[in-house]
Amino acid sequence: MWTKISLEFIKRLGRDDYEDIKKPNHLELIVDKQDFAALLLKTIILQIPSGKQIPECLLSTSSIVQLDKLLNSVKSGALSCFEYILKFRKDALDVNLNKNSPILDPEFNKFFMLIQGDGVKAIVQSLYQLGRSEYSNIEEGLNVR
Amino acid sequence: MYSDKVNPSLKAQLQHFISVILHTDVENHYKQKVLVLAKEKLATGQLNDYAASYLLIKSVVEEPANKPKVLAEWFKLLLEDLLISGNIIIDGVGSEIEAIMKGAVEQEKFANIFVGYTSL
Repeated sequence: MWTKISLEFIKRLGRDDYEDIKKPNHLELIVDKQDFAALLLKTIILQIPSGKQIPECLLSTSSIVQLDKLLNSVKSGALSCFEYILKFRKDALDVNLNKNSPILDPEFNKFFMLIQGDGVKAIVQSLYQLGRSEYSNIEEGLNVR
Repeated sequence: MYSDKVNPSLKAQLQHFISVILHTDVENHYKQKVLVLAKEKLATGQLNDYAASYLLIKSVVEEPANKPKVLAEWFKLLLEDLLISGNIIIDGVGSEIEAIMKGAVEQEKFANIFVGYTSL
């Protein structure tokens, strides 16, 4: 529920009219909070070092289905927070609006800063490792339908 | 502290309470009081209280009638406590994992240990 609340705050505060350059977007309140972004990242890297866990994979693949579902659902929620902010930033850049918004500034936007380097590499590596593994519970473990 | 289980009866009562407060046409300062209550619960550092607080906060944040400007004020009010409780939960889960890995724990118990965290 913690990640759901975080995501809901991000979505609701980002829904304001960011196209109006005179109005600061409320999402600015969130994106510069390094502690907040770091906590979400900490959630994403949480895993059980069991024998079944695929190495260098952010997804929980302990093969204890109940636990994998729980952890991956939390990780998914945390990742959605980053996704929303990155998409918001990209959309703002694409339409070339509000160039002065601090959300576009990588130094100000700690969510962007934290995820763009090692975060993206870790996600790509996870997908690669998952793809080449023999993990048989992808649908159940990731709660994919 | 980390082994506290979320009391289902407490959850049901709170959901009822929230529903009455938020889904009726009440003045905004009543909703503000709900947030203050949530903040106080977050400061206690107990999982049951976190669950209760998160239910309150979630209902308020999801309420479409609450404008982003108002939510921004609430976010500022709650941020510090949300971060502290979030860190305690994640560190708690980490400690549980570490403890499990040090001892021989059966698979069923392995998953059950986290039941207390499922609402958080």
